Amino acid sequence: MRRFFRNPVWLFVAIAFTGFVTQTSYGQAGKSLIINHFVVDPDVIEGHLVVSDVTGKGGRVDIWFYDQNGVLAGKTSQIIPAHGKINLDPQRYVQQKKLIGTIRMDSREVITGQYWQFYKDPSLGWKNIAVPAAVAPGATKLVCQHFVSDPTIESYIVIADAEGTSPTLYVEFYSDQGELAGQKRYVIPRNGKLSILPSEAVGGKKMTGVAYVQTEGGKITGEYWQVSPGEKYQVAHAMLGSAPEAKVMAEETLLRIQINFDFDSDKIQKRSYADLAEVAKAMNDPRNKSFRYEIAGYTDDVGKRSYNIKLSERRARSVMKHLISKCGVDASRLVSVGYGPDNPLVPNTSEANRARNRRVEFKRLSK
Amino acid sequence: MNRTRMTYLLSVFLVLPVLVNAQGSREFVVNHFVSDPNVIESHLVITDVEGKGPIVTMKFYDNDGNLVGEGKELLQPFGKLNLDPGEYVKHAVVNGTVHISADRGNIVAEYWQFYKDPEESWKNTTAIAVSAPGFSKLVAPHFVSDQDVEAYLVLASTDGKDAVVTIRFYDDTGRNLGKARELVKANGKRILKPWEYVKHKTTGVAFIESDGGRVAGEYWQAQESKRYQVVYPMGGIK
Repeated sequence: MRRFFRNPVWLFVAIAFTGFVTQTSYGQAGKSLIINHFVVDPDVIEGHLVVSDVTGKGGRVDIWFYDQNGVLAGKTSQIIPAHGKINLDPQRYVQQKKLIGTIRMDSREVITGQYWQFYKDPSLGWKNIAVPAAVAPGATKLVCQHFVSDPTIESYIVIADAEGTSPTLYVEFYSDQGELAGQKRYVIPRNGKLSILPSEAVGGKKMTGVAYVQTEGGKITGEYWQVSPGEKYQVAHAMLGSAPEAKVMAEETLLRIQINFDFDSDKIQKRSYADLAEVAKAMNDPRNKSFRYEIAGYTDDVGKRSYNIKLSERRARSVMKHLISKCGVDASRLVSVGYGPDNPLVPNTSEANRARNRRVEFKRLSK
Repeated sequence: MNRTRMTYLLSVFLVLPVLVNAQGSREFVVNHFVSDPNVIESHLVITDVEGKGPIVTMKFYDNDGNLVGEGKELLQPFGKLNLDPGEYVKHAVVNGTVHISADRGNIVAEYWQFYKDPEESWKNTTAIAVSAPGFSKLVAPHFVSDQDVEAYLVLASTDGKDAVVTIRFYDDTGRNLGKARELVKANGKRILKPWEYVKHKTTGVAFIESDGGRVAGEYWQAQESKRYQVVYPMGGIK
């Protein structure tokens, strides 16, 4: 065996194989799950937490119930039969008579979960709903691919803290045409959740659109809920993650992301650290590791051109320094350059367009 | 090719599948869509994730995998498209799947199914699209076998190949209730009723394995007496 591992080729094969076996990927399933939203309200709701075995091994699952402020309200451990499932009433495991919160589950084996919310009043059957659990540890960026702001429709973007770190959220709301309609900042309580009303964020304007959520200080999971009391329907679905990734950088020569800086400064805002960490991870991926990258800074057209070029140079350099010192990218692989207001992505005709033009691009150079 | 080089190539082959996969993607499959202008108002919602404003190509297939319509649309950066699938299949009555691809940048997609009769609005529902190329194994974490409950396992081909699927049904305690083998035609889909295989009233978990091609799945459950319909995606193993 020792001889086997002394041979670097076989050692590489062993590592690769181990990686293959341990990283088989699952959709909607994992060893740690989060139910973004559950309700205990015995007079109104019949709730079911359904947790199912995925691998045919069964085993123990530890379950924690938190209120939306992140206070632990109850816990239990259950055994899932091999090939079977458990169907729990959350109300039995919490001390409070009424509660809205999140549920976290850990298991040694891969599991999948759902929350079913049935309404006891038969005339409210149209609100019955089932939502799959999100897979921890969540994401640093989420896309709510559709939202409605309309006084006749209740809509909520529900975001849960996935790592117990109380992250700050930056949410940007765009119209279907891609125009910025609102920006908001929120803080999620540790282990808690937030329900964001898109209508409030866009100033009550009647519209449909897309919301992009970015975090600072931790990962999140999310859902979108839409209820129309007039039309009598309720739907909900999971939000998807969208961080920059190695695969994209391997396939494309240009990665364009929004890095946020303090006003008129080259200081990177903490909210962009997660994106830069993902960019560094992608750059250090084996598929990209032989490439060098140009970090290009751009500004909008407000102010003197010469000043903007210097500002964009300082910002690009600031990003480069961060990737080297905080994220472990080799300095010899990076160059920084500032283009100021040149090559705008869109005409600088509105604040939304100017925001889009203030950007940093990562261009893959030759090996 | 010498043994060392072959071993090296093998190791590279083994490394590739472990690399990052994300939820935003270039290609998606909507497991189920309906075009039925008198009954259903359906929406195919496709959203830009990265601000790249791609051109998206959509191919609409019926349940047997026949191409029944296609289209291309420009997606605005940071915007979304809200399309009527009926417009791409000449407003024919079709039940099938949609395959969506973007020429650049990641997208996400979802399908909304609204019922035109206000009395049936309790059936209105939405389902998120699944990132291609789909899965070789699926788990339906919950199913009902009950003649009074409409329950369906919806299995769609995601990689353009015929897939022979084996479905094993277990009750909640993990007791084996039987199995079925069905063909999901390339680009098509199969809709299975657990009752027809289990033949008694129970709830449980269904494990699905595909051979030949990859699949994605959804579970639909509706009960007219309680006036609800729910849909969710099955968990999958790549």
